[in-house]
Order: sequence, then structure tokens, then C-alpha cells
Amino acid sequence: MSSRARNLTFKLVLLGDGRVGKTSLVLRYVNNVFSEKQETTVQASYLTKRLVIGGVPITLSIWDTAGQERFHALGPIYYRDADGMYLINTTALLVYDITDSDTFLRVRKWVKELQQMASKDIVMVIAANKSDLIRSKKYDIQEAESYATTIGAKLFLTSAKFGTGINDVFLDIAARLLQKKKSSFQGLSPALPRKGIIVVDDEPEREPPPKCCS
Amino acid sequence: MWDWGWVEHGIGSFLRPAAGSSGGGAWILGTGGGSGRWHAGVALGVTAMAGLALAATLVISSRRGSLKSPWSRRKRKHPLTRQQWNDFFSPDGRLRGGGVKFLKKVRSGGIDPSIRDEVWPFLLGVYDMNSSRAERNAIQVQKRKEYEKLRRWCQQHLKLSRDDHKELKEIVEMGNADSACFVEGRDSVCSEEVYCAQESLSIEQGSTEYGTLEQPVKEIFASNLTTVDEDVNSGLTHLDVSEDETESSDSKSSIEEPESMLVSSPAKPNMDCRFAKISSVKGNITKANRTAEDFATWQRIIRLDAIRANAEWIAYSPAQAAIPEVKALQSAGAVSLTDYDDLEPCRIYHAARLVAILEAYALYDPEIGYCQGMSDLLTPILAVVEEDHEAFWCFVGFMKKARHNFRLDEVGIRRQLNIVSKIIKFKDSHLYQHLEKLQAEDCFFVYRMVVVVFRRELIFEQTLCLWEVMWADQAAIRAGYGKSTWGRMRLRAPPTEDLLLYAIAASVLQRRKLIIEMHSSMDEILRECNSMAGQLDVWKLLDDAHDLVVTLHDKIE
Repeated sequence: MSSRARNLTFKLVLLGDGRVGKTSLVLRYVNNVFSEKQETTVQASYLTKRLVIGGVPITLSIWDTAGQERFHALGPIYYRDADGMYLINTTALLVYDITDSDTFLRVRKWVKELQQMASKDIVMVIAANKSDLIRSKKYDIQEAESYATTIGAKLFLTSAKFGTGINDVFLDIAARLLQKKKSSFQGLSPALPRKGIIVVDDEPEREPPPKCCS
Repeated sequence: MWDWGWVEHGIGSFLRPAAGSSGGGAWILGTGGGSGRWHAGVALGVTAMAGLALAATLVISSRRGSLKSPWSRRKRKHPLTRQQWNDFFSPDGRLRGGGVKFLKKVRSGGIDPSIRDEVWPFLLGVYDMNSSRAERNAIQVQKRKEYEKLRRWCQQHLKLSRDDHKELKEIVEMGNADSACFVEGRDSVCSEEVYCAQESLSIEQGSTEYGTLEQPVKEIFASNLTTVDEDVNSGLTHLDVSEDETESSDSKSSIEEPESMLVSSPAKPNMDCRFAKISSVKGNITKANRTAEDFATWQRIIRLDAIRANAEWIAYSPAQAAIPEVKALQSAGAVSLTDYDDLEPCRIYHAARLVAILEAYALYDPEIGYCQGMSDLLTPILAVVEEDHEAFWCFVGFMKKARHNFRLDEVGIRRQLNIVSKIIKFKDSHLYQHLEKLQAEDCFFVYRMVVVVFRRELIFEQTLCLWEVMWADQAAIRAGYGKSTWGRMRLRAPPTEDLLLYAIAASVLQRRKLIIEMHSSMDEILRECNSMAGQLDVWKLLDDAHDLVVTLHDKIE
């Protein structure tokens, strides 16, 4: 049990509008792959990644969710903890497409929902994705940055295509979760994450089809 | 070893009625025991069937080669061939015996790929089982016109929203002014032909604010009442009317089938009384759940999803894979699809077809509109059916049931997950208790399998097989071939509306050991389910599903 206790598992949920790059971010991070034409996510898929922070091995259980609003009516199963509590040990990674301001509005909507539903100190991180497209046009992330500050979240510029900024996002999340965990240790010893058997570097739930156009 | 697995299963179920409760195959293998001649006979039968199975396997595997799963132990039965298909028809082009034998054949072995495009419209209810060739031709002409009308409407909506996107958006956000835009559109269509205008109006109203819907549509149906007699071509409307009657007599679907009635053939005499029910449903459910999604939103998402649609169909459909670039770009232009970047021509072409049909569908069934996952259901139909208007009506037929998967109020999904859960509970209490312990007995982990009907778990060709077997069950029920018909034909499993759910339960049960021993949370089971992708064998799955149907359908349905 003692080795199990050391293996901390944290849940991470990716939320955001359709086609902002949620799946691409995860697949770039977990498997270091990128597909220009990543298929739509239906419901949610689940991947894990193990990493070590300051000598502490931790496991991120990553839920990649479907973007379309309609799927979110389908029960918050992926951010439900085992004990039925919402987002106690969970982080929300909110993703938007830097070239599409509508997708940022969707992030704000999510934040509102999470704040209502989850505990006050929920860890939230925002990824402004598709930063590779910045070269073609100047996009202003000032507003997004100041918004992030007001909700106590951190904002990262990412490009799943080029793999930039991705590690920073996940490292920051892991570090903040670990910090949170440590501070909660000060109090009554809390229940540790439920499980320790985690496979490193999972396959993505679906490989890009191997076939190509003739 | 594989042939013993096959024999064990096949003979085991064959002997089960005679042998009482000693199911499974272990005792069959032990035929050397005391019961003498009878068992020897069984052993002979076993050997003969194993031989037959092997022979069939060799034929099939040499013919289908790569199409079968490498994990396959069970081999598919013979699919319906062109010759058999042709032989089913009488000289005036009617399916003999109302298609019972045809459905039986499809239920057990699927359809040869070369005739799928001819057969699917029957399975999907585009054509009635009892229709003559002349009637089908007339229906085709009519349905084509209806589809083209829907397309014209899509174009007008698109034009409107493109012309003044921002302004329109503001108007929509303010409330109900979008109906004003639609009225403008309607007028221009009205000038073309009156018949069209009536239908268009019903389409248009269906997609506007529901609060204003009731009165105008009632008027339309009222006016239709007067024109029905002139307009009705009995051959044309027979199919629609009879189908709708079946549905409305089903209390479950009376709530769940509203929109397609609104927008299909206007020649429906008793529509307005049914509509009263529909509008009250809308008032209570749809309006409450309505999100910001509107037709313009759907048009946008459809395009985003179309260009990243799964491309597995390419290997299946060489003709469409070889589409010339000029034609591909033309189709894209016709539906104003632009952001396809460096996509191959065949994928651009496919994306354009997806857009055309999904958009038309969103208009046809505005309660559902468009939801991610619907393109998964359409892609195989596009690969099989080359004409858009035919593909559209096949899709409509598919969606009659599948539309419930995409409802905002989750009712359809919850009902189905509940049935999967029940099947597992009845079949395997040990596994069920394990799921309960993990708070996973709601079977949420099979959600994706339900929503996109196994498309993400099965390889392309196998998806088509599962679907057509499933559709054959539904067609049999639609045609009124109940349990007695199949009993007489010694087919073990009666047709069921929910074959998919039995197949899903079967896929979970196939992994029961792993789930019980290795998985200690819902997350892990869900990952297990996701990892089934490409690992399943559809014929084994169907055999297992049929076994479940045999033993459980009385308890479940």
C-alpha cells in the first residue's frame, strides 16, 4: 500500500468548443502525434500520462471531451469523482481557438458553470490553442489573459500542431495539483487518490486511420 | 482450435432444447461416455458441421481476404448475393412473400457489397417491402424532388447568413426575428410553385421559434386537407402513411417522432390532430432544453466536422476515391465548403456530400438538427449510395431510430444504456455486482457505442455488416413479421428493435474476466471499451448478441 500511496493520480478534464484542438492537445502531449484532420470526439475519451515533478511521480488521468454543447447535457460523468463529488481532485483545462473569439466566449461559459458546480478552489487552466496561426494574423490575447487572472487561472499559448507550449500547460497543472495536495496534507490526512495501477503512455483511443487516399 | 470454438457454440445451442440446461459445449466434447449411440450421432454431426464450417470458411476467407478481422474465430455466414437478390423478385418487381426470406437471409449473413446500394433502401424503409417496381420508381422521383427542395432551402439560409452574418446573429440573439428572414425566403420559393411553398413553409416553421409554430402549421395542414385528394398518388403516399401510423400507435415514439412528420410529404390527412400533440411536446421539452444552437450554428459545425470526417470509407469505395479534382471542387463550391486546405480530392468530395445531406437533414428534423456523431452514421451510407438524394432518404430511414441518440433531453440514450445494463444484470450477476461496486452499473462506459452505433469500435466493412443485420431486424418488425414468423422458420433469435444493445452487452461480456479482475473504476472500463476499436469481430459479436436475444428478450422487452 505504501508504494501505492506515493503514486498520486489526478484527474484532468479538457473542456471547450468543437474543433478548438482538445484532442490534438492531448494526443500531442501523451503520444507526441498530431493529425491535421483529427476526427470529432463523441462523448469522451480517456488517457493517462505519468510524470515526475520534484521527485514525486504522479499520474494524470486525462478526460478528453466532446466539444458540442449538446454532449455536455449528458451528465458530468467525466468530472465526477468516485465519491460523487465534483472536481475535488480535478482540474479543468479550458481550451479555445485563438483565431475564433466565439470559442473564447464558450470558455467563459464553462468557467461560470464550473464555479457554480465545483468547489471554490478548483484548479483551472486556459489554453489559447492554434498559436501557430498567429504568424498569419495578429491575435490579441490580452483580454483573455486578464480574464484568466480574474478567475485565478493561468493562460498558456499552445500549438498542438507544432507542439509548443503543451508541456508547460500540463507541467503547470501537475505542479499546482501537487501543491494543492501538499497543503491539504497539513490538515486531517485526506483520502489519497483511489488507485495506483496506471499504464504509462497509453495508446490514444483511436489511431489515425493508417490508410490514405490512393 | 478455432473450429472447436465454432462447433461448441453452434452445436451447443442446437442441442440445448433437447439436452435441458446443460448449455455450453464441454459435454459435447466428452462424447465417449456411457450414452452410446445418441452421442455418437452427435459426434458425427459435430464432425460434419465442423467440416462444413471449415469449407465455408475457406471459401469466404479466400473471397473476402482482408475484410475479416484477424481475431476472427467465428466466420461469417454467406451474405445475400446478387443472384439470390434478383431471384427474390416477382416479374412486376415485388419481393416475393413480402420479403420474409430476404430479411431472413440478411439477418444471418449480411449483404454482398456489390448490391448494398440496391438493398439498403428496402432495409431502411425508403421502399416498402411490398412495393412494385413502378411504385418504387414513382417514390424515387417524389423523394428526389423533396430532397432538392430541402437543398434549395439550405442554400437560401446560407446565403442569408453569409450576406449579413453579424446582423443576423444579433437578431437571432434578440429573439424571434429570424422568422422574418425565413418568411422572406419563403416568398421567393412560393413564387415557384404552390405545392412547394406549402411544404417549404412547414419546413421553415419547423426550424423557427417553436412558440410561433403552432398556428401557421395548422393552417398548412388544414389547407392540405383540401388538396389531399388531388395530390395523393396512392403509390407515393402509401408508404409514408402506413409508417407513420405504426409509429403513432407506439406510445413511446409518439413523443419522439415529431419533426419528421412536420416536414415530410404534405399529403397527410390526419396530421393536424397529431400535430397538437407535437406542439405540446415541443412547448414542454424542446423549448426548455433549447440551447443557442440554430440552423446557422449547425451549418458552421457541419462544415468543420465534414472536413475531418473519418476516411476509412476510401478503401471501400474505389469509384468515389478516384473522383476527379474538378468534380470534387465543384461539389465543395455547390455547398459553399471552403476550408478544406490541402485535403485530397476524394475527401473534399466526401466532405461536400456530408455537408449537403447533413444540412438538409438538420432542416428536415430541426428538433435534432445536427449533432457531432451524425457524420459517423452518414459516412458509410455515402460510401455505399452514390446519389445524394438516395443517400439522404436512407439516412432519414436510419435516423428514425438513431435520432433519439442525439436528443437534447438524453431520453433516448438513457433508455438504451438502461437496457444494456439490464442485459448484463440478467446474464452475468457477478459482473453486474462488480459494476455496482464501481458505481458503473449505469453502463455509461458504452455511451459511444450507442451514440454512433459501433462505428468507432468496428472497422468500416464490419460496421456495414452489423448495421444491415440490425436494420433487417427493424425492417422485419416494421413489416409485422413477429416472433411467430421466425419461429416457423426455425431462426433462433426473434427480430428485435434493440439488436445493437445486445451486441454492445455482448462486447462487454466478452471482456468480463478482464473487467472483474483488472478494472477498479468506471474510467478504466471506459478505456477498455475505447480500446476495443478494431479488435472486435462482428460475426462473433452477432452470434453472441443473438444468443442473448434468445435467452433474454422476454425479460428485457
